[in-house]
Amino acid sequence: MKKLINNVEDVVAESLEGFLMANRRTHQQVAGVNGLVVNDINKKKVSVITGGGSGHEPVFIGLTGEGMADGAALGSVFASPDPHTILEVIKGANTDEGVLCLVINYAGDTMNFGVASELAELEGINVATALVTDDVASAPKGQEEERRGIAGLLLVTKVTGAAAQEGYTLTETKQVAEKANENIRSLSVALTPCSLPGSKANFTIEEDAYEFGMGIHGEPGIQKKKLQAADKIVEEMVTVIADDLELQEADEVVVLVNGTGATSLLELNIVHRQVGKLMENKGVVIYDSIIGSHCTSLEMAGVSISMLRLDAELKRLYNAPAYTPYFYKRGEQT
Amino acid sequence: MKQLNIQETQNMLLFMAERLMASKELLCEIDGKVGDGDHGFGIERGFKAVKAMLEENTYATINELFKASGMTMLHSMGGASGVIFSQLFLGAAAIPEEEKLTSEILAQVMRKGLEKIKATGKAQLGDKTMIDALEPAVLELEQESSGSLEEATGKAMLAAENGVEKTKEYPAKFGRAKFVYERSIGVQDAGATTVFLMFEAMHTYISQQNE
Repeated sequence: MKKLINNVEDVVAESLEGFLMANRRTHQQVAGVNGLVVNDINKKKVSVITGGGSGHEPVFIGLTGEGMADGAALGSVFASPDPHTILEVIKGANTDEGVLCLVINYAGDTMNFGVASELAELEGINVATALVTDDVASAPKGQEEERRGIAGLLLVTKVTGAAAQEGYTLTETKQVAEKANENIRSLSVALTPCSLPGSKANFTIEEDAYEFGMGIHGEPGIQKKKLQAADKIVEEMVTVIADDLELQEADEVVVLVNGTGATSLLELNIVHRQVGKLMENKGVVIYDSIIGSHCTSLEMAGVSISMLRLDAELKRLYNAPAYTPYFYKRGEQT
Repeated sequence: MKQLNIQETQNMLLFMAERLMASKELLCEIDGKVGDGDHGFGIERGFKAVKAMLEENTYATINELFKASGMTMLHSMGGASGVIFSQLFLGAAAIPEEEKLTSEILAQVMRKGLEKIKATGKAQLGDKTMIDALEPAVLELEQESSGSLEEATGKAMLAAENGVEKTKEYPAKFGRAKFVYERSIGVQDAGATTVFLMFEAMHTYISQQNE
């Protein structure tokens, strides 16, 4: 597939360089690695960092900023960063209150963050990890801890970053991340495949088909289905999410309709329209919605839907102002 | 050939690094069938760093040589394979210091590596991972530990190859392929393939020294 790149080996470093040129007032590189932290780390609060493979932009870079994550470690395309990279980001973001790593649940990410955390502890850093396991398609109910993390990371980062900002301790911040993770579910579908820089498409999807239950790395979904109208596909997705989350009448949720790279906002809004109708039928209250391409799989066409059920604490944290170059929240809506 | 000295062992690892770097596309293609198609990139990244390291340095013991290779892979590859494959070499940290490589010492290094990998990755035989090639290969090395390196690596290579074939029958339980469980049947495991290629490279290098 055609791509605007120079050398395959340089895509992550050059993309980071370009980002930092535009955002030097707020962000800086962690020396020697593909990682970044926000400027002026606040030593009096817990730092939240995240990270993972590249190719999901704006995740993970776009999760860093005010009221969100304080740093991110970037791996090669679709591959977790190595422990050295993660350790340097942990050190770059470290504060008197410690560092919480928000990690999406893939073997590579958990292993490399695990090794990096051990190394950080050896250096006397207070570090903890919370996993994001929002993808309902990746393991059955009852095995939630086996599930992989996808776009729900955005919402988990939002409330976790706000908790750190409010002065929660490391343990309390981790608990917020875990609570958010317990109350969030996502499901993703793909219409076209994506290709790693320098290689062919990972797989094919026929013109009249779509993949149900995609991860975020262009790996095939759990099922190939015949393409239908948007409303039908969205209904299938929302049914799985709502059942798994056991949504009740009068529950309040934040909805994230996320494009996976090549799906137009025209389509994403159509998806959200149907989510809204279905929730209304169920009597579930959509407190707020985010529509956009926040967690992508390169140029894959597709959409993921995430729902975060709110309680009073999560609602307050969700409402806190946040600003990154790719995501913002103006504060409580009226 | 009964043993390799440190320099010869270093040359063998260098040969292995070059062979694995050249296998990038094959490994990506296999991984792309049920994974995300990047295994070959990670392996290339890791062995490229190992190659550069081996060309720059000399080592006083076999253990240091293997450990340095493992640490270089750990801090250059990323992905699950970065942690897993580096541990195969880091197994050398758990055995007494040696200045030569024999079948017995290679078997010990690989046994310790296998134990570390199983502890980290939690995979067992039959889970469609690199263990399916590595464990039978280590067993062959141990069986042949009093014999020549050529014989031992040759049998380990065949055992690994047989293990790769078996991975086709299993549904995946680990890595990203586990999410497509049923659909992974019929596809060989990319990590197991890498294990086979590593043993094949060792065997080829050693056989060439005998000629």
